[in-house]
Amino acid sequence: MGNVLMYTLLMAGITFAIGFFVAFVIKIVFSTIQRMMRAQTEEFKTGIIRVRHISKIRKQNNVSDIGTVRISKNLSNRNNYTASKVYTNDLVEYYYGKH
Amino acid sequence: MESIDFSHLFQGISTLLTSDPVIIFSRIFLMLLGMLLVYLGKKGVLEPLLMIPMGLGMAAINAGVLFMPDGTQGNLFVDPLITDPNQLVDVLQIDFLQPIYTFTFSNGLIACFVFMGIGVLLDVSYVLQRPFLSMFLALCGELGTFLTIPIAMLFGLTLREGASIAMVGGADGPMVLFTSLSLAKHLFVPITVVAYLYLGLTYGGYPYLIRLMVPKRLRGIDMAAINKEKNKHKKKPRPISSGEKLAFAVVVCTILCLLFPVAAPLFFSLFLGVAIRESGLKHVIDFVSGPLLYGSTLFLGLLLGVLCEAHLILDPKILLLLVLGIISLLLSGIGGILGGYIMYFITGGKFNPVIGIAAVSCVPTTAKVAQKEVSKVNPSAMILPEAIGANISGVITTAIIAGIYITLIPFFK
Repeated sequence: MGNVLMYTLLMAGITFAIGFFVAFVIKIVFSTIQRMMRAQTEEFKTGIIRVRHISKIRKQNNVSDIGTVRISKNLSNRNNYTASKVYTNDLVEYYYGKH
Repeated sequence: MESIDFSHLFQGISTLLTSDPVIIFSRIFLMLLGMLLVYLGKKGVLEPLLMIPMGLGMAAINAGVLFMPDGTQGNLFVDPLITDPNQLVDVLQIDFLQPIYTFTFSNGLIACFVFMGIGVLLDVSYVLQRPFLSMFLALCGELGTFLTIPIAMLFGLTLREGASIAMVGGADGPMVLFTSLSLAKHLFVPITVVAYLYLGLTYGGYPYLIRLMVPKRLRGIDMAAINKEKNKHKKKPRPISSGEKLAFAVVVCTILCLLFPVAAPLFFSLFLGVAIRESGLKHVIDFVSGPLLYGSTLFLGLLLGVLCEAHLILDPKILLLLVLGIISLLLSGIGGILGGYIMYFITGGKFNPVIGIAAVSCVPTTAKVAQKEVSKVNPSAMILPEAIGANISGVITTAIIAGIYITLIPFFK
């Protein structure tokens, strides 16, 4: 009988150890994935805000491309621009600073 | 005209009349018990999905006994005692349920199918949100699975038999079937029948245990309100994505299979179900949670019923198994509630102890029972998310225990 109690205790102990190990693994896996996803979400959110802001600037300035674009003749005349090109990167730099 | 031998014309009656009085009594008793199970299944007292085919099978197998060509008594349903391969091939062509028994039941495949179906129905996000709490409660809810072993040995069972009947405390039918097949094959029919009978009773019996152990004041604790209060100043928790749940299933399945290769089919089946669900394979989900789960449950019930044949089930250990089965389930229920109380004291009264009963797996019955009992006292109280988390962890811990028993017990002398 003593042996049986010992075996039972041993098996219960192993079960508890494995149970908590599984819970620990869940916690680790879950929190790692969560952290990764949170970081991605943050990056994504920042990116989206930036893209929206840039498009807004582009719209305001009547610019249709992210790189260098020609400014329409009307706008160039209206603003008295001498140069025929607007650099969107300059606009981005103006609003967000240099990277 | 040749004279008609009525004893051969109505073989069911003549086999009954020519049998031993004990067999006559047992056959009649089992026929009536079968009818009672069908009735209780229809009334919703016991699980109808299982009890209706099981009861009908039980009544039919004990009624449909006939004389075989060699003069012995037998039936045309199934012969579970055949071991000779040549005889088995013959019987496979005669007994209509023999193919299902041989190819799905005796190797545990049907248990794995049911487990796959359960896996598809499980939403593991509840476990992912509170892994330690759920696992702690689930481990407490296994009290009967451990304590029944020494009790069974006090009553004269062997360690293997004791461990098999103790698995009833895990409240998971497929697991009991799988463990008893591995550890005590000679008793796996009565043990599995006892297990399924009692699992059907948890729905009716556990509410009384809850009322007995948890006072009304504590039963009404609303976990939703407590969580709301706790998270007042925190950001609302983000819903858990299917990718996270899939990662959980893959990682935990691999680890458990690595630890217990003997129980790997069970782990694999459960987590395959979870993985299918989280992968969003719609047609496969529909197949596993529909035809496969319900088809397996039907044949499981049917086979359990036809295995309750008087000659086969007339074992002096049956009564003992019936007693030990109920002790095991009762102890697990008590352990679960005690786990709930421990959490209640640790959290300073901010935990409903009734949740503990849901840790006795039996998905999702015990979680529903817990919520029902709480709602009776406080209709606005919600404990279901915590209860389901403990419930799912209960399935995982029972599978772990099955793995430990199957792996370690053969080494114990």
